[in-house]
Amino acid sequence: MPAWGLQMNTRGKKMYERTAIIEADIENLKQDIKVPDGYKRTLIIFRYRERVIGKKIFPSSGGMISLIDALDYAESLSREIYDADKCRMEAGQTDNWEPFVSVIVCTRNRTDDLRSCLESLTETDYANKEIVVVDNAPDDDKTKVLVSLFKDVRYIHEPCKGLDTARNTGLKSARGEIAAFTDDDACADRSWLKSLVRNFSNPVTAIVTGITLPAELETEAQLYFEKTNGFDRNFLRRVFDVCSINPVAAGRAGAGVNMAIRMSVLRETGLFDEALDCGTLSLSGGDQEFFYRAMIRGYRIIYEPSALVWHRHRRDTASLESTVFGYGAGVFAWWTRALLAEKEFKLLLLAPKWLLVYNIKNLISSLFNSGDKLGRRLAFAEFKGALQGPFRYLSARRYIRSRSITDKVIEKPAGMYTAQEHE
Amino acid sequence: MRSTLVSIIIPTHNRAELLMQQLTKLSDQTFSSELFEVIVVADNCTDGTAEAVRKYSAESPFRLTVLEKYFCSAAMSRNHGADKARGEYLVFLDDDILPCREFLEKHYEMLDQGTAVVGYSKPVIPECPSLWQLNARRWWEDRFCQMNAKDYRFTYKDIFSGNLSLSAELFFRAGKFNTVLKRLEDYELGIRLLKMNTRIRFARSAEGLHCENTDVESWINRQMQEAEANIHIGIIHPEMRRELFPQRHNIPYTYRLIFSLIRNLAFRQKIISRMLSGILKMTLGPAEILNLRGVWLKTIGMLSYMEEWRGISTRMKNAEEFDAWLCETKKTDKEEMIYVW
Repeated sequence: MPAWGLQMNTRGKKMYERTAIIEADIENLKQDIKVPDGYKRTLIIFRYRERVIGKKIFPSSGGMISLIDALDYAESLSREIYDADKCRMEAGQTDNWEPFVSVIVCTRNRTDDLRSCLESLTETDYANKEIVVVDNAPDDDKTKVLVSLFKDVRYIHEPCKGLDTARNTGLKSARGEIAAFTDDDACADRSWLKSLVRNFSNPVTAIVTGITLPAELETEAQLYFEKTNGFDRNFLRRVFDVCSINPVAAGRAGAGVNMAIRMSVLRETGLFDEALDCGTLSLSGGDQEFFYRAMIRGYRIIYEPSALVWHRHRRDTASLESTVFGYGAGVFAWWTRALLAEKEFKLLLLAPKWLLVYNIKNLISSLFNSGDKLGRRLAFAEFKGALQGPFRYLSARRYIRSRSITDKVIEKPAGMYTAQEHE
Repeated sequence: MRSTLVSIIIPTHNRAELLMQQLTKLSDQTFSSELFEVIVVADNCTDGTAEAVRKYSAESPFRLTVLEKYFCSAAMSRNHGADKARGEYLVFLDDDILPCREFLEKHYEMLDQGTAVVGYSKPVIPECPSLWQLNARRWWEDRFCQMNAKDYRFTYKDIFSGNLSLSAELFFRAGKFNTVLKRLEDYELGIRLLKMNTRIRFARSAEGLHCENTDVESWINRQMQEAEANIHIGIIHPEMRRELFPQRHNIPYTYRLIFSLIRNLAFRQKIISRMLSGILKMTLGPAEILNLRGVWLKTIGMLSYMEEWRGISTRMKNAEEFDAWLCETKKTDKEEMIYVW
């Protein structure tokens, strides 16, 4: 399988190669594509009128990718083009509707990444917005200084550690009808906000998520992440609700790196659970848990592939391992919450089944694949995380509760949000 | 004083509290209150609705009439109200819909002699909604969202008498609501309106808050009555039969056997079919408590299918007769085609 630059040869020895990333508009594909120096593989991301419709890895010979190869693949994307056209037509009906959007970026000690993120956000072609940076328990005031350089960006300091705590702080201070989230290590595409917002025409749509593509594929860790845990779903628009998927599999609907939430639904769904996600013992799962809650409250999630965010994956294998460990822990942590708070009894059956068919199967298959050392390490990390998840969530929750008694009273969301429904 | 332009007809049955809220909303309209009147048809009310409305009419800014009748049918109430109306245009409003401030203005903006305007009834669900209410909200919102699309082609199913306005002349020319039907009288009116080349429009901004308070039990029971009503409509409008009973193509292969079993039971073993439906209804409660949404949804689908066939079986002897009845239209269609050619 020639996917993602990772290839096993017959002797089981792993090979990986740096991969360049090039965007190509299929309407302007007129000549061979030039590959930057030093890359033997290129990931071409095909676009059609501001919308990404497909991607493929091409080996480059002599620093060029032949036009014919690229066009061959582009032709196979007809379904995606049709979908893009249909979306554009649907969007035409709500074009005049431009609600006020709050873009919330939660960050912690990653000032360099944040700079490019904010630059990309200020350049998006959506005027009616505010940008809010929530600085989560920072070690220094570098982020504050950086934000003061941007004219229209609001800075909020959140002393309590935890991504979901920061998200909630952002939501509480957001003035928009819609709150859009992205991460500090991601860059938004120009039409990102517009594409997200145009999907909110139906009042039962609570959340719109978008596609996340890699900003660079330089190291083994990045290639591996993109191959196994990558954010991108596919290039077709999809609607998620209780009727179409089991809400327990909410992770399929998207991720917190690229999502927008209708503020008025917070009255029914409540805020993010502060005992989940980065910065707590649970390590991840906050976004998925929120998706789940929105779905069981009868709302709908739309995956919109034209809303594009570029994410820079972790470069080193150590942090990749801890990320994967976090994913394992996060899923089981939020499932624990769903079981306890929402009485999702079927998880008692589904969670062990998932552990068996996914985690343990992964582990066993990686054991037999002797060449893939990193894969084995990651599978083991994820399995370890999954086992620890429930206990991690319980102690995180205990900590959050003691914190909320001592130094922070968590306000009830009811009545806080007076955001007008879109007419 | 200027003449009355719009008559609002509200059929009601024992919902005094909601009705009073509604009347207060109507007294605060952007549309001039001299130009419209409200006719409340209190059908078989025992909770003092008529007295309360009469008391309110002393202080209301618009003309308010209350008619007390014993119809036990919303269609008859609406027809009776329309008979007494003086307005050039009629607005039919259900008693559980709270109109917004621009409600009448927006309806009036879109109206003309040959148009029926369907307003947006935004479903509002209680604080701790049941699974059914969540589903109902999604269903309504989806439907209105579709109707709001630019090139939407309206069908008879889009006539929703809870929030509907049309000119009185058109309403009487179409022949009022059919009072023989127990259900779906609005769809039937829709068919007649469309036959008269009426233009149907959707007014997104003529918004009313629709308090969603039905429960799943009554919805399931309604499926049977609706199937009966559909047969009745099919007798009145034979060319619509195929439309009224669309074939379900989306049934997964594994379910087909069960579904054909349900169909046969409904015709041959009515008692067993009824018992089965009762048992299935009993599983809904536990499924909801245990949060088994998938099971719940499947049961609902099965139940609605079962009730539909039970409804059909009250009018038809067996499945063959029903199929023949459906196909009758095909023949006439063909004849017509030959005639045209």
